Amino acid sequence: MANQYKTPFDNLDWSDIQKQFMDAVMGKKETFGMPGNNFSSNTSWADAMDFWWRAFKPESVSANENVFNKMLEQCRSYYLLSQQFSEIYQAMQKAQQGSEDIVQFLNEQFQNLESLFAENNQIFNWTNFIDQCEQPADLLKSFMSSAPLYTGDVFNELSPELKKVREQFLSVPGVGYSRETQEKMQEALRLWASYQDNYQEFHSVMARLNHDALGLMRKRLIQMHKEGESVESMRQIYNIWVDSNEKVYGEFVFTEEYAELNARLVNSLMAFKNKSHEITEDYLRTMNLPTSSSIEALERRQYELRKQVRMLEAEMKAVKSELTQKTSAQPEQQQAKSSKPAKSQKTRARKKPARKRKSKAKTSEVKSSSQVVDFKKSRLEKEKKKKAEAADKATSKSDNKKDASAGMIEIKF
Amino acid sequence: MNNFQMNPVDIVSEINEFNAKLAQGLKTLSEIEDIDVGVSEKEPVYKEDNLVLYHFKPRTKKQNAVPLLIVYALVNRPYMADLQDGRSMIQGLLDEGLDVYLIDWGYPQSVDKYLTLDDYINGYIDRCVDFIREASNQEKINLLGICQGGCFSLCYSALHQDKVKNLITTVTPVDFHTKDDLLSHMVQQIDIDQVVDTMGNIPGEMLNWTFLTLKPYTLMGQKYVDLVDILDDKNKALNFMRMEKWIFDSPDQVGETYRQFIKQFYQENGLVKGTVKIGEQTVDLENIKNPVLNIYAKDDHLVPPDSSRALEGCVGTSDYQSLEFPGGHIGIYVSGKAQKMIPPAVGQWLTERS
Repeated sequence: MANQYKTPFDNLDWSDIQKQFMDAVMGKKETFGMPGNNFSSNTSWADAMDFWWRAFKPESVSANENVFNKMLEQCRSYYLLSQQFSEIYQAMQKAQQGSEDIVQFLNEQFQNLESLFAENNQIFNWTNFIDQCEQPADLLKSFMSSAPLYTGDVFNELSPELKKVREQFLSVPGVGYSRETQEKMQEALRLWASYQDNYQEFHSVMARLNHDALGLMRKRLIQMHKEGESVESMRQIYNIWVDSNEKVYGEFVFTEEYAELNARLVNSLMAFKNKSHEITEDYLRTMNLPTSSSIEALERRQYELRKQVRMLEAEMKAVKSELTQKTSAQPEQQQAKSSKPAKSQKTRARKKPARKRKSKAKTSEVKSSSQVVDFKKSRLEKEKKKKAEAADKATSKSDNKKDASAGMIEIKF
Repeated sequence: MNNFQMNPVDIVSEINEFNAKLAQGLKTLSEIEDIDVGVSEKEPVYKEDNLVLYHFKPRTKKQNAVPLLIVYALVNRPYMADLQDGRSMIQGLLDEGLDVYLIDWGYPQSVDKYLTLDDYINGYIDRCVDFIREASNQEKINLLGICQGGCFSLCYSALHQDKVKNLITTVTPVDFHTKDDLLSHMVQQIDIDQVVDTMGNIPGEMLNWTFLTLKPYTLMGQKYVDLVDILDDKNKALNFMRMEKWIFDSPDQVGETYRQFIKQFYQENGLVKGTVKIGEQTVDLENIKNPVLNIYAKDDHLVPPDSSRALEGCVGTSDYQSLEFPGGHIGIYVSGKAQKMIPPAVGQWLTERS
């Protein structure tokens, strides 16, 4: 029972497993020197961790479970890697005892390691996300499986010979009542096949990079050995492995080859998803259910309406502002006749929007249809005035008035 | 001589020690329930659709009269600029006596998929700027753009010179075709029209994945193994979790805006070529005559320094300054080093000009 232990690694089962593994490492079970061949899932550190986690998980589920899982997944990779390298270590020490050439020995061990990595993609597989993007394929598969002419098997990876057969099969022209549906299905399958080809190519390129990274790591270790540098921990080995992978990957992603392959992968997936949407829509239409196209049409109309509302709001605001100017300017103008020139009042209003906001607050309660009519009248009068002013450009006095008036109208909030 | 002298006992001992740390770490993580982010006191002062404009409470007796509006990117969430006490650029700016506003774009919904760059720049940002101008009684305000928000701020400044007093860009891409721009390299041949037509809004997860694939072994692997080393310290674990929360808190990207941004900025490099169109207007950075402070990160793997530095040759101002931060794209906001360097530099630069 996991509950009785303060920490999960107090668990005796774990200790037993550790002991078993240590025994194995110490050579009692003859696993030394044979990396890959005797890799036993029953005694690995990674599997021991999985064992413990299954016992521990029920009491640890929390908001941080996602991070737990990522951490455990990567620790698992670290354990798998450490286990492999611990075996190489032991083999190297054994070799030293026998006066064998360390460099040659390291080369041989890495060859074993490379073949192990090629067979085992558990070490680190960061391309999982691509699989999540394929979800529409499941939907299409179910359609296909229910269709009389096809089965979901056509989605599976095919040999080159079967691919040819598939191409011929997909080129059969559609006939009869369901001609269009058949052609769409064929097109979707062609797109899926294209995506599958790209997907496989992408993975094989990534496998090549992993292989190259191991090669680089081996060179680094040999270089370190030649320069008398020591490796003192499994963690150091793990970090060298990470750095080697990043270096190889980092160089590759800047190449045209990667840009082109990545684009092909994404573009072919999108093309397939697009076609599968189309097919889904066809089915939904036959059932008189809303389709994504009809929802998009609604969304577009709603978007356009929102824009119109905003424009109207802006115009309303400008109108309100103008009205406020008008109503507040009247008493000020009257006052101005006896004390200050009107121009300076207007200029100040333009520079300080907050002042106008206060004025707006004062007049907000008196908004009525009659005021709107008044405003329309005043606007007409203003337009007349503007025309008159435009005609009377000769006098600088009228020019000044025009500028001040225009400045007030241009204020936006 | 063989330099690889670890014996089996050492190896197992190391792994056992790691096991113990892992166990303790999982215990620590299971004890963390609430991950608080966004420490500075603020109030929402303007809302529109998903957008919320926040105004931060001052932390000094006297403030700079000209407000500062922070325009965040559409990618990830803006609390990164206010992550936690002592690791908050906004806190630092408030301590410099700045009157700080921030645009939080929120989480776009499917119904927002038709919003364009024009809606964001001449719509949302412009209305926020007008709100602040009115509230502060200032004709012009200061802008600070973060990453993509910097691009938006540049476009806005070029189109609305009458409302921008000073502009600060931080880790902002300008030249999208520099040799070391991996993001740009990755999207050059992608059929963006097809992506947007198929996906509508672009899922945040897809963007996350793109960013992680820039350094997959480090960001998806080594980071979590290294995490085990710090999990005996709850504060360090919390710091990690805050960053983790931010990294994966990714709103979907509005489809039309994404289409326009990737095509015009990344694929066509329109910002430096002067071909970016926002609505009916073409953005000419030469129109930016107000003072510009351009801050970039020396080790930025998302926005290469050369991409940001290109701004100097594009803007029309005679008052241009740049500042290089010795760190990465995120470190410029959250690292201890950044807290000592960035807010004081911004504060001083603005004080001299406001």
